[in-house]
Amino acid sequence: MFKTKIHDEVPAQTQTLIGPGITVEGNFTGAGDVTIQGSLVGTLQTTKNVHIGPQAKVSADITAKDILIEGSVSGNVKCYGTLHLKSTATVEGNMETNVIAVELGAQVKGKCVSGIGDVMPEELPAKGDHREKNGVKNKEVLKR
Amino acid sequence: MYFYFYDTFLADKKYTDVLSRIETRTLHLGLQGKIERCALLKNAEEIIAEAILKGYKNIIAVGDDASFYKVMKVAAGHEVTIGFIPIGKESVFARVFGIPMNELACDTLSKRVIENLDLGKINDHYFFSGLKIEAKKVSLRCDDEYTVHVEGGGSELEVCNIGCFDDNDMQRPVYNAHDGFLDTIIHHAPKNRRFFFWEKNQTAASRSIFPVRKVRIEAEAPVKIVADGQVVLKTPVTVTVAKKKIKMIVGKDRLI
Repeated sequence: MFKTKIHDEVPAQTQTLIGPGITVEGNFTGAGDVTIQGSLVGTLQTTKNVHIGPQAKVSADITAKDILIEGSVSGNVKCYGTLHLKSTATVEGNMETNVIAVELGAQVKGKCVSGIGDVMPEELPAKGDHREKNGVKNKEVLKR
Repeated sequence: MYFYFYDTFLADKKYTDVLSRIETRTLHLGLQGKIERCALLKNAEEIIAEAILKGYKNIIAVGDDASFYKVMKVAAGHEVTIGFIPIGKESVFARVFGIPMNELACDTLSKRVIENLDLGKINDHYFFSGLKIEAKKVSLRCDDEYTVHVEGGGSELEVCNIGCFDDNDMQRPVYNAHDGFLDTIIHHAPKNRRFFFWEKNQTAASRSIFPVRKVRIEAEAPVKIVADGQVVLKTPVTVTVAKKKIKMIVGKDRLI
């Protein structure tokens, strides 16, 4: 009569979520997409995408594929995909990116260089790679 | 050869019928083996350890989720394959592993779809589903690279291999158990900010997720940690992932 229900919310790939009220200090190397709504101090590297929420405060150098900034960033940003600055974004630092998109209202204090190319360097640790098994990505292995 | 571990509660007469059907089914499928029942003078750990020493390569837990934990704790680290025949109406692990209840689980055993699953290790204890920690001013040192500070009360902290499933709360997500990571989850309590009647009642509860291979949990005062809903430890502790530590017979509808 009462069926046990378990939410099948298995993420297809590793994602890191830094929620509000959480402070992370140190060298953060994400294994997949990284979403920040709290605070981060140090460095942030990932081979995937970074989303910095409107209430987030990041004092770190960031290296990622695609980066979406809605909050405050104090540090250098290196993006090998598209760097998107929303209207609420505040960036204090230099930016190097392949493609940049800036909304009206975004504030930037620093140099900006675009067209750096979309090939990420090999020395960036790719934590996500080992999760593929025989070339099949995990989202295909996981079944409902 | 198969070794069937029958948990204590199966001695009750109401389980005679289902056990009889299971034994008949295993016979038909060619899965017969030795059956040992947990009794007053026989400790579960001793029974299973003895079976492994005797050379049984397939240890099958017959019972409920607690029975599976008993087998997993002893069999972890040994070269054996673990199976599970869930008895009763509901089982969280039956759903997670895609194993049907009662005698139908024997068909899953016969198909022998095996998954190598990770375990978590907290100090010297292995755990399978996850840890629950009171998140009162704890700090997490993750992968020896960064530190996470949890501010404020009302938070719940979990370190999950597949997920933390309480008896009364089955509405939990299932995490990947063979990715080589443990998912450290901080649940933030929703804030009640209703000063005026026209304001919305609560902000939605949110959570933070950190996939880690190693995490050191420390707190100002010792904090209770519950592993797999059973074992209780206290901080400070170091939690690591034991990659592909157990071999598990699973069904095709598994969630992991």
